[in-house]
Amino acid sequence: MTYILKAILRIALLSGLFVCSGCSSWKSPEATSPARPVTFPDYAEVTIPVNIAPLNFMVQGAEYAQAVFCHEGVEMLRVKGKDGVIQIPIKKWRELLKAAAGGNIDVQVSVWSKSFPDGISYQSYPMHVSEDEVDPWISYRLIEPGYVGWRQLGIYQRDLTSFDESPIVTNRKSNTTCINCHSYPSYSPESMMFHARGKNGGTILYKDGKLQKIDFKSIGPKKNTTYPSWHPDGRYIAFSSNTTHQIFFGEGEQPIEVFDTASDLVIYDTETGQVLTDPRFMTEDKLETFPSWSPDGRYLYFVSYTAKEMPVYFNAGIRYDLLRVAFDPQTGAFGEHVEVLYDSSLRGGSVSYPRVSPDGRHLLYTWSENGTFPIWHDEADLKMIDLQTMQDVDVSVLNDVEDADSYHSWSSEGRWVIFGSRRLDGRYTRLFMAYLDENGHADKPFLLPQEDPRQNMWRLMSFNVPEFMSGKVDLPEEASDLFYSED
Amino acid sequence: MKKLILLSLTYVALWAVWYFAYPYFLIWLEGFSFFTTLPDFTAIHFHLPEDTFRYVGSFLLQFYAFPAAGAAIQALLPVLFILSIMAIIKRLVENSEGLVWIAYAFLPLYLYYQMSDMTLVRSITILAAVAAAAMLVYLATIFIKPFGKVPAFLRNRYFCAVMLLLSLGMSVSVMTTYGSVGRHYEKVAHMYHLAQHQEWEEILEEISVQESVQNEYMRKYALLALAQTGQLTDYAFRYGLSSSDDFLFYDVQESFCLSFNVLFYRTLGMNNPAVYHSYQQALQSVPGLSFDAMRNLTDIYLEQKEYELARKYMDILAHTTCHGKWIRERLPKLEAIRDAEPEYRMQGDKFIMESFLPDISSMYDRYPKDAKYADYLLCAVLANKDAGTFFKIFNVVAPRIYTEGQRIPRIYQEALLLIASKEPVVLKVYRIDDDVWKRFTDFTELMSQGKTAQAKRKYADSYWAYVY
Repeated sequence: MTYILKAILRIALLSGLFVCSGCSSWKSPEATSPARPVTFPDYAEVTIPVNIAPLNFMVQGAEYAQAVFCHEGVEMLRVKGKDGVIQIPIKKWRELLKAAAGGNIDVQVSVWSKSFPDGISYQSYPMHVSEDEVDPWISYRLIEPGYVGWRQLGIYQRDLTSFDESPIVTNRKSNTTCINCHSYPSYSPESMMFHARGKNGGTILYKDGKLQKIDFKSIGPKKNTTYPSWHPDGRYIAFSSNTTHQIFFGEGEQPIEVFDTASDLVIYDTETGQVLTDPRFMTEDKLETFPSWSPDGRYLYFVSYTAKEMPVYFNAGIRYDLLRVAFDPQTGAFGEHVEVLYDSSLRGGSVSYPRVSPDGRHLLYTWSENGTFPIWHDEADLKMIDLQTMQDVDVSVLNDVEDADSYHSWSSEGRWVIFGSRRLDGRYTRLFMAYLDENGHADKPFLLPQEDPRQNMWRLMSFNVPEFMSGKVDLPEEASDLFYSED
Repeated sequence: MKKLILLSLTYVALWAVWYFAYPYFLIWLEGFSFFTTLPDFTAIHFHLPEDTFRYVGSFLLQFYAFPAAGAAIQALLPVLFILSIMAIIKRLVENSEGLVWIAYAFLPLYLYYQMSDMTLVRSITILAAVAAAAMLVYLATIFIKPFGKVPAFLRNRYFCAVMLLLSLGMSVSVMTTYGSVGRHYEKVAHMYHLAQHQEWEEILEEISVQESVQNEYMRKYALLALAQTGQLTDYAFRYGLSSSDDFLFYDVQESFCLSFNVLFYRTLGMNNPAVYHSYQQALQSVPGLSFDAMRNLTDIYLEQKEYELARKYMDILAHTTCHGKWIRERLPKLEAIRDAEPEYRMQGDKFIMESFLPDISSMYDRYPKDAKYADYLLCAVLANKDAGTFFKIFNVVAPRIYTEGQRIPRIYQEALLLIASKEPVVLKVYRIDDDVWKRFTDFTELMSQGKTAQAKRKYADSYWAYVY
């Protein structure tokens, strides 16, 4: 008994010391710098949604750091941290965002390091807080960036207002299965589809509370399905059907190229279970891919490459045009006229992932010099077209000069985009968000905040296919049983 | 006291077996594993509590980088297993004295599972199950009386000694039965260790010609060591080169093979396929990551001056238990490339990786003065018994590499002599050494006398013996 009491006393004493050590007083730096601090991530002059999670950051090389958050000259919040890591309490952060909505937060950082043992105070930097909220959830796939193989991958969801991350579905039960291409109708978490590739693979569809696996190779034109786009009214899903190949380069900066030797478009009717086709999009000499519905569901956008000779082998001249065709949701039929929006033979480059803004005005796409898999192209950038004027809109602020910027999604209100970029290290894709106003003016993007900013570097998985969602997906656990196979 | 001595002796014996017989295999196990204290490791790569034993196994395997520590853990697990069973017996039986042989009777079975357990999951699971059973028995016997006494003959001193010896004999048998597989793994791991430290001469001392001819794994290491010591063009066929794809592993997803491929491509200065095989190698491990792959990637990225990636992997390895020294050794290199532009080796156009012959051919095209690529290319063509292609390539290579009267390697001279029977002009262009001439004359004489076997035996390391 005495032993237990002593132990309790010891724990209490240690806890007290621990708490007191955390209560060390606010320090005053000796030096002042006219420059802004170099923080990771760089959140200076970004525009952020009023409901975003705390933008925790760090100053590399610092042993200790302090940050003061002010709004309109009034100090609102003080945070300090060891190892230069600033982790903002979520409750206070939310109060700060609420107060600063529509205005700026000025962040003043002081650092104690080997170079500045007595501390140095840096010039403050502003962050603009937009009153436009962002959809509270995103989903993405996490996968090892390991070329052909994978061990553990899954589709995960993240609460953007906090740091909660949870798996929607993973290949934990059958490691040889690849899970990819998740899609939702109109940002709704109530329905979801994804592909499971492998022995018992298929397309897993979750709609109206029902789970089913569809084997597209046994129905309709018996084609596999790849890149999806769920029609806004929830009935149809457009797919491209791709025969994809991967090649590896012996030398040079680009290690991989991925290309298709065939691709067509098909539409799946979730109500009748039928696969609808149009002969124009089923030809061998034209490779159509990346279907994407307009927000009103009246147009299907896609990209297409006209093969000069068949079969297609990899070469640097594979360039995809951007096209659209009208669609009648009542009949499930396409219109007669196929309109070319971006002619790669005239303008150069190749178009991937066309996505129209929710207001229907802008179309964001990924541009690369050639090919159909831009994430392995360092020159890949996001570009935008104004669909009213058909003029290019400058969104170069979103892009990194040296590394690939790729797959992107619009938020449901159209004020935010999220995209994948390899700008941190050239290999691991990370997610960035940016504000776009109604005229398509883009602000500087910011890295998806993490509870510990170092998590952006520590994570050994790449993020891909980020999609906004209005809520949390609650996919039944049985979903993974549908594609279970013995490894 | 007797039990304690017996257990101690068992521990020492098991430790000695692991330490002296399998030191490199223990090191290999560490390279094949991965453990870090970073959050994703438990959030994504492991699912706790289901993967608790995997997690514990991964933690312990870190220490196998030091064979003495690895052997200590390997020996401790079966000893704890025996101890747990002894505890069960002691609580269940009133007169348990002399029943220690029952605990030892399970030792061969435990060792059987342990010997092929590369993740420690099986070893820990069995141990945990028995330890849990011991706990349950302990708790149960607080309230329930033991079963009573066992018949006297089971506790008989001589019977006990015989059973104990039988169990230990079976344990030795298990380790011996496994020995052939274990020795193979140990040898491959040893060669890998030597190759990592570029001890090529020692590899050639360790691998006999016969071993190389018979064992695909040994052959790859021997051929690599020959190439690295400039002896490939003299002894490639003696060491069993039999096809152009013999230099590395193709279409194999085994970690031993992939790690060899990483080494192989690094010696060729081909970092792209080295990175590719590193990632594939990592995926063979339970968490999809491995220390060995991560260390390889770090060194490749340091070499390529890819600061951010090198820093990332070093930062992750800094959150492991045993990499402090390894990281400190590389910190100056990392600092030196902080502001450097990444350097990707590339000459000419990009080329697509296919199989060894076209790949090495592409490399030779780009680096025509590099004898290493030329030798691999020419040896690969000769391995395919394609004298015509060899001659065409040799005519291109020779003026670039064998200038100023440099000696033509023996295997090439032997191939040229065969070609000369159809193209006599060869002998006017290329100088054949007198001793090669003599050997060839003798070889052809023996062959013409129908003494094919004798000729092949006498000139076993010649290209002629390989062709005929």
